[in-house]
Amino acid sequence: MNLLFKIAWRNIWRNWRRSVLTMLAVVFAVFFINVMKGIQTGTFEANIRYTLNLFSGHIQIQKEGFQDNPTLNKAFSLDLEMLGKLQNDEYIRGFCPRITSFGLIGKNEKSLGTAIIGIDPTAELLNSEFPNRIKDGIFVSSVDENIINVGERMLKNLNAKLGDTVVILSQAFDGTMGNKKFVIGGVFRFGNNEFDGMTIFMNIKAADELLAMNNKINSLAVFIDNLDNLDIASTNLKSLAKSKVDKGIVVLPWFEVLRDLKQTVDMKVIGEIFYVLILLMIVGFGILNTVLMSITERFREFGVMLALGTRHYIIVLSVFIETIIISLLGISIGTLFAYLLNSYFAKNPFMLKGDFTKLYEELGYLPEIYSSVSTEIFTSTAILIFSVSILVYIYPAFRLYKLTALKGIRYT
Amino acid sequence: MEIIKVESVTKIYNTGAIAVKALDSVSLGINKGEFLVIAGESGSGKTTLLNIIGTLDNPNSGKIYLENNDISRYSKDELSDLRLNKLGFIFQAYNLIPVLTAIENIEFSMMLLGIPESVRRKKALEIMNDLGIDELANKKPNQMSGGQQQRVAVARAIVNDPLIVLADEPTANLDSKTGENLLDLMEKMNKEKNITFVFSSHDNKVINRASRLIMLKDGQIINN
Repeated sequence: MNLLFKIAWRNIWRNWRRSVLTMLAVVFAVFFINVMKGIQTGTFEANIRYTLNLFSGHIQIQKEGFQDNPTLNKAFSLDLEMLGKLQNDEYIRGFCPRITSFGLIGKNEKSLGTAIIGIDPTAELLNSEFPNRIKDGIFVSSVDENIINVGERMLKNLNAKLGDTVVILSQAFDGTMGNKKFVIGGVFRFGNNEFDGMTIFMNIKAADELLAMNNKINSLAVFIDNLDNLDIASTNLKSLAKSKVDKGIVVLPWFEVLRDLKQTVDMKVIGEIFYVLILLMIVGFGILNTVLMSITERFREFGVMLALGTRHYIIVLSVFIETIIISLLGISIGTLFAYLLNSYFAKNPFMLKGDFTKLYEELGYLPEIYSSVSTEIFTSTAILIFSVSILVYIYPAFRLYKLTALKGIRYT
Repeated sequence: MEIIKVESVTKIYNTGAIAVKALDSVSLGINKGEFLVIAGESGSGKTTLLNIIGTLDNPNSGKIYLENNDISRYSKDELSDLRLNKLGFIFQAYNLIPVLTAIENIEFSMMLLGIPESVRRKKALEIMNDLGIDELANKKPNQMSGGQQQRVAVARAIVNDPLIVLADEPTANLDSKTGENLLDLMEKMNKEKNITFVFSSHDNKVINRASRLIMLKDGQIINN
């Protein structure tokens, strides 16, 4: 075996230019795939974290059916047992109760349709990033329940300004029409024109009164300490919700709430598969070409080895060792370089400038390019390239297996 | 003692539409310790006969017996084992493995036999010493002359104490003095170690040393 390794190793360096070029193809592919995957994973994770922390939370507890048809009557009460368990769960950072309804907002003769979201300002300040989105004025107050926040676009559409009084009308939980005066205390900008044009936030107590909710809520946004703990936190909450089956409460992880975001992630994954396949084909053919050239020009040697009594599998194994060494060296070097670059961008995100910043913000993304050093990225790439190396070796191995001593010796 | 028996062997090569009969019902026996030369002009079938005896080629008809075993129906792996254990080869173009040093080339077949490294190294050095090529031990084929490479090839062929060594025109690529030296060496091995040598050659230097000469013409033995 030692001599077999020696033969393989020396054969690699016998035509070192070709071996180095093949190795470089592997290095390039591994590096490129890892960097692309790293950027994609890192940037997506950052955007998901950002979006979830911004408002929606990582998990939502809702009344069954609310996600697809968010009507006011799909509401539930938070009992003490549930609150206690939520507060004591080690993976849960915090939670924000919310009431959601639709109505009309009017100022003078101007009125607009609006989504009304009742929030607990203290909980939001503690858990979500949403309060940082106030561009002007103050955040919904826990002291003055008459203060509301409106989207930047809605303020413009209403021809209103900070401090103006508005009237909000909405059908309440009990079927009556609720109406109440509010003061625009602050203006927010999420970056999403639709959201900024038709959403208002008010104190949950004011919403409770306006909509006659009687301490019921429509959703509870749960924030966890780490996105990696999503599964375990969801499982814990689901088992908690099971005991509330009679009330029809469901636990939805973020991807069941923000389906558009999930779809975008999935589409990017499909895109990733496409470019990875192209790279794999390039590397695969590169390795195949090298191995084929390398074995063809050594047919005579293999013929002699066969004549001396070498079994075919030993020759196949010897060339296989060469392929594996080239592949492993390429994978190691490519992974090292990619790790260094990914680590740098994971710690120092690349900030987009100029028009890109606006574009990204309008699309609701962070104008920053992150990377990731997740082990999964590097191991999956290494396994993929290694598998390709083995796969492309099948044909050369077949040719070696069919070679006879005499054909080899006579090969010119 | 007859160690190899060739019985009515015929070999036909089909080159396109034309069938060429390289061997036509050839029969012969080879005894232990012979220094046998198969001679003949180019195209007479001597290399084909040597290849068939060496199990590198298959006859169209006829049988080959090695130590009274019919090897005509051996599988690919059985023939590999047979060549490894019983046969030694010396080629016209030396055919050493280029990435291995002289001593590693000699060790190669011992490695295939699973002989431990220390044992095979000792044996390889002994044989190199016997052949006077011990100073070449760490040289690679491209650092050796043709004569030196062929001496290493002889060492490789005899290191496993084969039943028979088959040499296909071993002196064809060597100058006359080097060829004579090489033949001296093989003759010495034949006499001292009773190794059977079978040559295919049309070189008079080789033919003159034969203990037995077989003349081939048009695929048939015309003189035995």
